[in-house]
Amino acid sequence: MLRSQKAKRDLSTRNFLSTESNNPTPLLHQLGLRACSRLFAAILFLCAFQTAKLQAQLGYDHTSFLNGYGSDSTIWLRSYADLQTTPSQYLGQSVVLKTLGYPDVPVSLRYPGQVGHVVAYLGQGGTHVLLAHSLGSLVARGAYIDSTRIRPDVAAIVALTPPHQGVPIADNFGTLRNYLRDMQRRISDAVSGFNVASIIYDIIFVAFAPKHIAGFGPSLFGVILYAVNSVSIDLNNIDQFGGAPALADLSPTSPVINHLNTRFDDSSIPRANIYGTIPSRNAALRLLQSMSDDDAGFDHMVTLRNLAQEFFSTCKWAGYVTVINWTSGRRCAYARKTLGRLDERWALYINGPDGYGHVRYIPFDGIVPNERSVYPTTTGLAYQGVAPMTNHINVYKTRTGLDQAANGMLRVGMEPIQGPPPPPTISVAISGSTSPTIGCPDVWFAEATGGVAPYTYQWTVNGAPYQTYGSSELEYTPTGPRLYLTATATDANGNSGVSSTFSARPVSGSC
Amino acid sequence: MILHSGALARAIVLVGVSVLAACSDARNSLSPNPPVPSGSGRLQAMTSCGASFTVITDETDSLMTPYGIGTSSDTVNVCESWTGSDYDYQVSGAGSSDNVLGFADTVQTVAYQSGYVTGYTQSGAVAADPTNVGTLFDFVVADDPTRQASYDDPYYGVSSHDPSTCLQPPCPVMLRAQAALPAGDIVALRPSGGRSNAAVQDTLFTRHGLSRKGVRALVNTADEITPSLQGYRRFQTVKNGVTTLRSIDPVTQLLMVDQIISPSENMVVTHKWTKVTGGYVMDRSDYVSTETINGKPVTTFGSVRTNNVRIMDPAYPPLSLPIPSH
Repeated sequence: MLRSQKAKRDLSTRNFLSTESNNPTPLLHQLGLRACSRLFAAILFLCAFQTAKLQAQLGYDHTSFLNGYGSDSTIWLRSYADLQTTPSQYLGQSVVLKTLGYPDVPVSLRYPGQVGHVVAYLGQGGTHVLLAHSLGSLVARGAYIDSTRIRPDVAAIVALTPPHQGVPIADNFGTLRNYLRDMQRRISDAVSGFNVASIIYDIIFVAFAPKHIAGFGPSLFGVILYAVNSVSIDLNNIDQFGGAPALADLSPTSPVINHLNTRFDDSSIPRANIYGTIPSRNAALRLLQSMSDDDAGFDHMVTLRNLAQEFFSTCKWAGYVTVINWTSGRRCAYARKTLGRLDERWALYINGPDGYGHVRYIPFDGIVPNERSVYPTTTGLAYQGVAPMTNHINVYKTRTGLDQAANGMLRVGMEPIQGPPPPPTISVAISGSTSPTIGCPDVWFAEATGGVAPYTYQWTVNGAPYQTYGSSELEYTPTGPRLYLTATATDANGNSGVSSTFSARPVSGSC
Repeated sequence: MILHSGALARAIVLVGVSVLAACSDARNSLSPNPPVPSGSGRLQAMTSCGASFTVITDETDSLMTPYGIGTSSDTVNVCESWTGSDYDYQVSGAGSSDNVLGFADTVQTVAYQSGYVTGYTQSGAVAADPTNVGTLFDFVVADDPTRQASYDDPYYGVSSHDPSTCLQPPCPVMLRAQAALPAGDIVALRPSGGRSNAAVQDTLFTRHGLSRKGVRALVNTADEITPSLQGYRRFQTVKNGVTTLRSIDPVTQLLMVDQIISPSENMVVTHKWTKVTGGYVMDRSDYVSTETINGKPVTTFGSVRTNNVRIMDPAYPPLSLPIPSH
């Protein structure tokens, strides 16, 4: 209790430190110096000191991961190609996570049930930083807002691609699903135009059977079928996506979104907000690849899409005006059209239409428009970052996304991983006469700093080692008009430093 | 009569086989290892066109209407040349209603040559590697009469020379004869034995008394049924559950209507031709298709307008609309 009171007192200072940046500059600057400069210089030092103190004092002993819509808690425990490990292990390389927890956000439940699930988990003990993906972010906020009992158990919230303002797909899902189904229909019709039962079958499998074309498949027909089928959307996945009860809670006009957007209780704890951005082009294919955990195959998928467009275009125009086959031409024309408009329709249904029913060209992560990831209040928002992604939408599967998540976790005050201290920098300075007398003995001194005493020294004279048995003093008789000295110092831990070259011009004279 | 001559029949077979072999060496897609088109990886426009024209399609897909993309228009420039057994073919996009800002199709131009289809972007870069698709006939699953029509008149889709156009026989026409061969075999025929190709050709497609090239081959193996209400002669083919009806104007012998009836679709295409010196060029084709999708009828319709048709293949008399005088 004492700790949480202290945390609240500390955080009250923090509430006016609103920052919005994706620039991973030092925390002290982000949270302290910038805000203080907005106030007055007199308390600059105090603010900076206090902020640094808060960061180190965020009390937490658990990091708990909340999954998003259409998934479950196992997403945090799977290894992904881009990470070469699991998300929690990847984050653990830069942030002290302490005890890990994976409370499930069941997609089968509506919002109250999901919040109840997480509240029950938090009630089991510990103080948690909640790292939540997508819908899990709403549930994390909801748990804190709706249950005063567990508030002391929540130290901070880090939201990944959160649909704070709801998502248009929740309202457009039925239309999108039907469009994909009918697109599938058009593609299937065109594929059936490539008549497998005709002579082409014999030509392909007799003449070309052994031939592999660009790695796409064992035969020409295989190429065509593979290309046009691969760009279809797996409607089973889509059905599962839209079939979950929680989808209704994500509508921008749902009571859940309205409720969460009118409560700002969580502004009293530090929070971070991360959203992902991908190009609109091929967004549906990116989603498709991510759902298959095959982001690396995205470029190949785009190639197949282009191939399919090649086939459909050629088939359309040839069928209409050259080798007349009206049914093939028409089928290919419509397949080409429905596939060609996929990007645009996808963006329309995900981002929602403008006032004229047109597509809105706004950044999104493939499912959540960035404008709808805006936190209901920026008060106490410690960090807001953008994860620009090029090949996927699932932010938790990628280094780009999780690096931003780690930034957010550090900005809310989680402890960074402390690595071994860097070796000390040992500096060595040489002093002595720069104009000694030729033929007369003289003495030069070396002094080391920055390491751990005692030091031993190794000298060179005009590039050649000169034995002093470790002494910091060099006694030497110049024999010519040039004298160059260096000294290497080795400290008690074996770390070394080398002086810059000391240059002297011996002169003639008597000793 | 002539076909019943054993000597001629053997000659046809021999000639056909020799042509087939020759084609296989060069550019026939039946070659097991067709050469992959070489080049710089950028679009190279065809240097000459046997036929060139502009096609404008306006199409309405009622299946897509609920999604706001029911109608679409495309304009393309087509350059094609008959190679003797196949086409070289290039279609360049000139405009499309589907080229929505930010979402234009990557593939704006397609080219077919020697069995390979290649797609190009707007800037002319290769959008995907050349892909072997067999012949253009194979690719669009052309039936035998359709193939034969191309051999009879390669540009019959957009033009039609009047039967008297061939002024200096032998007219250089390639054709495919299948009457004396097992079904499914592909044999090409070339002039031989002092008898002109045109003369041989004219003996093959006489079943229905038609002399207009392309059209006569298209319906030669079909059965004539009762005339249409417009008085067109109608020819019917039934194959694999699909009925194809082609209607021919008895006066001009031009193809006026195509109708394709299958269990899942009924498609009617009507054609309009424009008279030019020496023949006709296609003006437009209008289609209406009724599909049954999930037990419900879905009607789609569209027009395919053909502009600026020019037949410039040196093997055929030139044919084009007169250039408007100013």
